[in-house]
Amino acid sequence: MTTLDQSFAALADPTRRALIARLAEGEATVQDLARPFSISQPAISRHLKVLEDAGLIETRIEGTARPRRLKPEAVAELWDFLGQYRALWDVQFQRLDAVLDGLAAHEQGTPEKPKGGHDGE
Amino acid sequence: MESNADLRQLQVTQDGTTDIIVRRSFAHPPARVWRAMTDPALIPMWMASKDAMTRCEIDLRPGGSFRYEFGSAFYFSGPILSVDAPHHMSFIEYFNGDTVSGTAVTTDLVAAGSGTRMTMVMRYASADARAAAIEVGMTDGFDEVYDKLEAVLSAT
Repeated sequence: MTTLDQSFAALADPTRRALIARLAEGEATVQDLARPFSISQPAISRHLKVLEDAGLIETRIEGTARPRRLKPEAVAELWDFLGQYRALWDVQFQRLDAVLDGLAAHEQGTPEKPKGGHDGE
Repeated sequence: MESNADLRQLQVTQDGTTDIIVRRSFAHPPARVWRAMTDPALIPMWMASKDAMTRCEIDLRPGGSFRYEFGSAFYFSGPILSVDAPHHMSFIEYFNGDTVSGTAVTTDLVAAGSGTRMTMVMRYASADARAAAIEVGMTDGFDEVYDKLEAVLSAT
């Protein structure tokens, strides 16, 4: 896997995106990062390892503390930020179009169920 | 069915230091768009990629509240401020219950021909909060985006 592929894979997980969001506000320890989540510190550490392997964050050594921080150059390289944000909405509203089409079909008395992003329909 | 592709063209713009404005048209009347955007049985079908939203509750009235959970990873919740079906609603959105920095979201639906023009204004708590939201895109749906990106990457 190339670094770029690895970066995308690292960010495909919502918890890891939330961790990146937190780190965008400044460096933080594993304890700080784990606090808002209902999952364990070891689990958070594993997510951080994925982000670090992908080159998105780095660990600073300060005495016994190991705060993590974003590698801004890596993140900047990855995204056209507003373009990315826009793409998320684009996908969401395309799904909404499908739900609306399903509702319309349903209202017209056809037995078709509203369709959305769910499988098995 | 509407054939004009431009009609559905999404516009995302930044306004002032804290706002993001999302504009989009739909080929269905406001009442139907409103239903899809406010019915807790329908919201998870489009707001999240498949099965990502594990809980969807909305008490749609001024003074009511909503809660959208995405597994154990995170949730959005907050108070409903105003409701004027099927044209207008506003609410405050908190991430993981953090009421210090909420995002005020105002959605307006206006009939346009046989369809609907939507304007959604998201007012972040600060310029930094807006920047963080844009940088990370915590909105669900990333998985499909990722798939698309991956396809593009594979093709190059």
